[in-house]
Amino acid sequence: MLPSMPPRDGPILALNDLRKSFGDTKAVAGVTASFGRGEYVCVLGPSGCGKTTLLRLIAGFEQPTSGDIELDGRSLVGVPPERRDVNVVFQSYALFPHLSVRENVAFGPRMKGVPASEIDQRVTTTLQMVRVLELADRRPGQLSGGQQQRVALARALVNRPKVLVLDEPLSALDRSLRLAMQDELRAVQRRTGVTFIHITHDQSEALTLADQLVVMRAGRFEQVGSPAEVYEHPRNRFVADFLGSSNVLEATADADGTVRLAGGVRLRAAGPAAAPGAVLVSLRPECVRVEREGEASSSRENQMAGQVIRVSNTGPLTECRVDVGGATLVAHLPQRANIAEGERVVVSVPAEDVVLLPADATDAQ
Amino acid sequence: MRRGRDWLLAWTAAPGLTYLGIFFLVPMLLVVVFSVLEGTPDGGVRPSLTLDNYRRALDPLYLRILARSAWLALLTTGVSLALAYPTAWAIRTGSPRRRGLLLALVVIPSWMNLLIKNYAWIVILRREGVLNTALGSLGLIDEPLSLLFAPSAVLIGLVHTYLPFMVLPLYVALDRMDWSLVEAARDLGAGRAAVFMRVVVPQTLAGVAVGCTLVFIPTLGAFVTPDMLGGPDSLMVGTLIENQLLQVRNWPFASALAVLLMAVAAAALAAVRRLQGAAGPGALA
Repeated sequence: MLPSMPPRDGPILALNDLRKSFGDTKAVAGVTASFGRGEYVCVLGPSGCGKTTLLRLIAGFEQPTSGDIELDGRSLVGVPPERRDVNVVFQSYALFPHLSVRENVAFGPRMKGVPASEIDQRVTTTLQMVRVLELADRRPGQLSGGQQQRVALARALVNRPKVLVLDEPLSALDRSLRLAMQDELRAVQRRTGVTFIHITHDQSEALTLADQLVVMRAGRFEQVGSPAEVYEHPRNRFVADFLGSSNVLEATADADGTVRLAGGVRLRAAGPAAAPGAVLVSLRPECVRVEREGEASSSRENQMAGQVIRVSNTGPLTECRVDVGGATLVAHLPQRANIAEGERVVVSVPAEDVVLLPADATDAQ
Repeated sequence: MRRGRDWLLAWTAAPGLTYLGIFFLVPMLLVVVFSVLEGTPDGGVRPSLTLDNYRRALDPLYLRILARSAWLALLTTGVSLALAYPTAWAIRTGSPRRRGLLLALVVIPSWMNLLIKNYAWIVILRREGVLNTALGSLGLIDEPLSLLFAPSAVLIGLVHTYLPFMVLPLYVALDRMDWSLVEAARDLGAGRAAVFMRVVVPQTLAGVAVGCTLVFIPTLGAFVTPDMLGGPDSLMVGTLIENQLLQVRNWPFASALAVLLMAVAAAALAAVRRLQGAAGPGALA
């Protein structure tokens, strides 16, 4: 199942100022990015952010209003979906109900004129890889959601596409199955070496799977980077918020490199100093340390005195809201944290976990 | 609870079933009974059982008429299907606003009286009619086409009458179809023809079956259109039955022909059923 062509240099997929409008609506409003061979790319964004239109542009179901898509160095503009080395795993799976699993998977190679003996062997290998070979003679209507998902994956992969696009592939599955399928998708992607473009609105799914994470909003790419990069250094409030319940606070940067929160608390950030003026400070809940007054070590950085407003147990960790005077901070504490509502506490955040964001006017929503 | 629902079900079904019992089942039985009775020269029947009516109906002369009717019904169904599929496709894939208008345009002609429709065709198709005049003045033909009072006129008339019954089930089938399957097929490398043959047609087979049934069965027994637009060489079984019933007043023979006609229709229905069965569990009843 390895790509038959020798690897070439350059990105497998490049988007160049790609735009798509429907009437006055700019679904994709100028995106530029390139993705490498064998990368697992997750495009993350809320519904209506244009990620489905982006998928349809890559698959060929829509033609761009302007800009270019290059697949392995060749422009896809004007190329119909049936002549692109791109395959799609549809959100609804879109398996042909009148064909058996085997016939569904054989559909693509048959359309491409692959010899019958080779089709047979390829279909069997692919069904084996996604572990549904024993279901080969069933019809899609006789399969569970998870099984249909695997067949849809096999039907796309059997064509050995250069890029595989997955549209919210796990959204129809229940939680435990979703987690298992995440691992499987990742394993199949590694084994085949095909570049996956996985569209999702689920941030934990995106963070788990991606080599390259794209955060999308209102038709634009807000940030592109590795999950760690995007998570630890979000470029703006939207990215910080969307990648997990972050504490984003308004503050003022001072000339000495520190920032002052609205309530007067002063924090030191480890990164490059911001230009003096209004900024936003992002503090990850898991980076916020909460200790009882008197138990806290005075050596901790960025200390703030506060009072616990609420403690809620959410399974693996305890979520604790602390009023630090003018702002409420959310902290995620380990399960054994022994803190009660109403207690006076000391909150601290290491300087390297204080992330400064531009106070972009468009972010004030 | 369960018993109460059965009781309610029985009562809701009762009026319709009673109606069908009195006005459908009883006349059908009468036809079957008449078909095995002996006729009298004055148009009555004698209460003695005989198979002579059937023996006569199976004479090659009448079998040929029956075969001609079946062939014409088949042709009407085929032409209607060929015309209706693109129409239904255009309606379904057009803008939703235009959809209602186009559907109305398909349905409205069927509100027109059948006689008026056929007279209109006579005006259009006769030697000095609209069609011949138009074609002649365009220089496309040297002498008028004799379309009227021939099987071609009957075919045209029947297709005109029954086309809506083909378009509507096809439209419904296309509307219910999962259109993401079309995109999936194209994504997998299928061109337009392959998408149509391998995905759209199998998905709409149920609609095709319904449409063909709705066109084939009534055209098989049609008598008004063949009578008005057909010539002496296009005598259909429907017209023959009408003649035997009203002019010759040989009710037993007319009944035997009617039973034979029903047998052909039932055979056609059974064939469609089998076809639908072959389409698999995806097909609708």
